[in-house]
Amino acid sequence: MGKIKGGGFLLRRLFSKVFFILTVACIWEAVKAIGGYSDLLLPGVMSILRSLWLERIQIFHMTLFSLQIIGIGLLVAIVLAICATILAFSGRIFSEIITDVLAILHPLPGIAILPIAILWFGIGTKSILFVIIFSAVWPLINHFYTGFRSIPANQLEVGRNLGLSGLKLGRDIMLPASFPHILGGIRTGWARAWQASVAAELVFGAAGGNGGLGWFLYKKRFMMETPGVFAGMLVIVLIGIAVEYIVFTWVEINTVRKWKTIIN
Amino acid sequence: MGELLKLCDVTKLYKTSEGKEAVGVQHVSFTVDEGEFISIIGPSGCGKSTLLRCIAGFEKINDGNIYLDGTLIKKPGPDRFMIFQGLDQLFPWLTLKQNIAFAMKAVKAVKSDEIMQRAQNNLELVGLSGFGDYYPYQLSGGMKQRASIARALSVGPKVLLMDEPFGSLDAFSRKAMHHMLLKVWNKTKVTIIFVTHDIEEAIDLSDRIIAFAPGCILADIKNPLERPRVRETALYRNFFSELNGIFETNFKGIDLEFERLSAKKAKLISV
Repeated sequence: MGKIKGGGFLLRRLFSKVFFILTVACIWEAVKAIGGYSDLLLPGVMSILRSLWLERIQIFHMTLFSLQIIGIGLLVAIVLAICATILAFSGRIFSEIITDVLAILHPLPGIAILPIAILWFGIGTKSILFVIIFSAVWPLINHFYTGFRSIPANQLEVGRNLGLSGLKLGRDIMLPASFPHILGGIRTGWARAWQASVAAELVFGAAGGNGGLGWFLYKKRFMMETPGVFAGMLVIVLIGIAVEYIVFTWVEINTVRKWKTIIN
Repeated sequence: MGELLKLCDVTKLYKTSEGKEAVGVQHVSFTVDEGEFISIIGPSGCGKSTLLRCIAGFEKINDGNIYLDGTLIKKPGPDRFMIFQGLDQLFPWLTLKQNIAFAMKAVKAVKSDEIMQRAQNNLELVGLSGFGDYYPYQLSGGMKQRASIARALSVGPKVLLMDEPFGSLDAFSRKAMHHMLLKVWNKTKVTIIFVTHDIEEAIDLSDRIIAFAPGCILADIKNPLERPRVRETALYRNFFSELNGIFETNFKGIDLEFERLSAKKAKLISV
């Protein structure tokens, strides 16, 4: 029963997204026709798609590059966030320090750290990775920490009653009990990482001609190929939709929706 | 029936956030026989839950000893299983059967090929035989408590520690739960220590009743009534008055509700 309902939910969401995109395309064309804008300012939908097709190989490689660097960055950020959360729970001093650090650094946009990153790591993938990790790690810590604190005391005590402690208690009870928050954290972390990677490349490009979609946008803008800029943006949007509505929704349906422990 | 649990001079102190010492449990001694069903009654905040948590091993006691079957209790263990009042003690990410299987796997007491069968048997025992594949959110409060009891029994505890387990339920389902609990007790012969503030609940269920006042035992009385207990009889009313009288005389002029709130406000810290 849950599965069918879940599948229907997925399809419905997908359908509504496709419908939305088609509507936007129609309005887009209408605005262009009425305003009589040139392709340099506002390219038509067809020329954007044409550019997308012509650049498909380059876009494909750059997308892979982006996903790879984001994947690595997110993974490192998750590991760091787990360490920070465990530390926060191992003593009151640590939890206060981490709360303070979070309050200071969480509001700082990842891209604002870019000048420092370039200073420290030079122009290249390392700096971008640093910005990605910096952007993702704070919301991750925030969510993980909240998640661990919101575990019902009774469930922890049942675990202790069964003789579980340390790693086993963490893996078998704390992890699934705080999973709604963990999922929320990874979701936010992914979005931040994706934004950070594009933003960082847009600002200073890439070293050695090896870059992701932000670098693609940068090059197309530099060469005044506006349809290419929009094509790159379209790919970014599509990947965002795909990850949100396929990966995260799938995980959600099979976990927190099934358990009815969903928080948002 | 031999002696199973023995508390000798147990003291558990707390301190308030201002550093003042507050007593949770003070020099409490009593024994519980194997297979006995005893109730600890008293007003909210009198330390009866603390006492239960000490037996469970969740709280480190400051003084005295607690023995189970002659062995000193130092930490929590599956031989003393706690049932809480809260309806959130089942793991929401597991079905009822998985909840029970999880407990059995954790204590490694049951062979893996027998786990599912035993989980099913325990669900039947508490009247939930058709609900093994349900997730906790799909159940009513009473069913959740039944499942918690089934899970507790699955690890084969010597003592079931019940901390106002039916306190969150309405009067009707509470009645059904009493019925079920007595059936389970008759069948499994498990020893039960039942904490409640409801005098009638204690009379209905237990062999022996310990009246608890802030930190210490006021009275330890054998229940004189035959089972099943009928609330309308004169004997029942007399026994009820006797128990009620203990609290009336001991709590004259003390506003317990107020005391409890100020204790909560002071934030007790275990010492």
